[in-house]
Amino acid sequence: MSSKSKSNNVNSLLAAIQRKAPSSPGAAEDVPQSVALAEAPPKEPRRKAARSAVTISKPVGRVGKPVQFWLHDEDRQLVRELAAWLAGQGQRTTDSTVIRAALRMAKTGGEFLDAYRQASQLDGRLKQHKAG
Amino acid sequence: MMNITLLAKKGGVGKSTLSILLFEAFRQAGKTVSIHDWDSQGTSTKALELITGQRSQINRNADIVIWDTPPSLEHTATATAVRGADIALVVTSPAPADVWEAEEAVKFVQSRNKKAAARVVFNKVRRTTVLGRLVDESAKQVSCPSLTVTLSARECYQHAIAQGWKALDSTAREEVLQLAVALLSLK
Repeated sequence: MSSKSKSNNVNSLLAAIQRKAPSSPGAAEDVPQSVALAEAPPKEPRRKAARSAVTISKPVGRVGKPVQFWLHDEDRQLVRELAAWLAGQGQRTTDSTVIRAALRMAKTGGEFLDAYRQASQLDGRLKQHKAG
Repeated sequence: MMNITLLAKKGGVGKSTLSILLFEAFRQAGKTVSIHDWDSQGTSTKALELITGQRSQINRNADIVIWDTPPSLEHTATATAVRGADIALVVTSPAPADVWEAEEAVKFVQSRNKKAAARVVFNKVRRTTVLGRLVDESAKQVSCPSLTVTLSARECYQHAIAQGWKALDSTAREEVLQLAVALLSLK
């Protein structure tokens, strides 16, 4: 294959990638990475703004109550994975906030029932109860 | 946005090299691309600094986000990257031991993210060798489709880690772009 025809192939492949635009809701328009990276956000003012936002939005009288429940190793691994993903989104989390977020997302249905059955299979107390 | 997670149970199969090659291919096509380097070795991060001349930053609005994971399926980062993936790309070489590990990685993806398109890509293929000729047979050993595009063992791919797109000859560029097109065609 001549170098000219190879060059044509490369150009047509580049054009193909440009045509196959992945759907990006809310994504910025095509900006080269170098340009996008150059727009570094200001650091100090942003930190101040975040602090003041926390102070304002802090709910009054909503302290919550400590609860005790059982987590297996694989449950804690799931919490860690969710926390790691949130960290990738720039969120600083605790186990408590991760679990509370997951609870808010949960929807009843077949998948939830499957997940419950999976979890209940590991539940030692339930096994004891069934055996008794 | 499209999330592409590259994973493998073992190291040395070319995850980071492939991350950089895809980064460059999409960038050449005018896409915004970001690499999340979650491998503690940090190869992708170092390479990006050399290629772009800047410290890598995560661009949350990029068209394509590439997740480079640690060479372990037990690592939390691997599981997290797989959970968020639109495409989970299991990287392997044609060596039998690597293909066995690839099957474990495919099962890992299927257990963690059923919605992701799981694909195996063969890297470091030498078509003139026995293993290279048997790639199609090896692909049958894994329980998800393999990409028909394979990446050959080329020295210029190693140079691309430091020099980016300009290190690739036209044949190599064509190969990488074909892989990029194949991935975009999955979604």
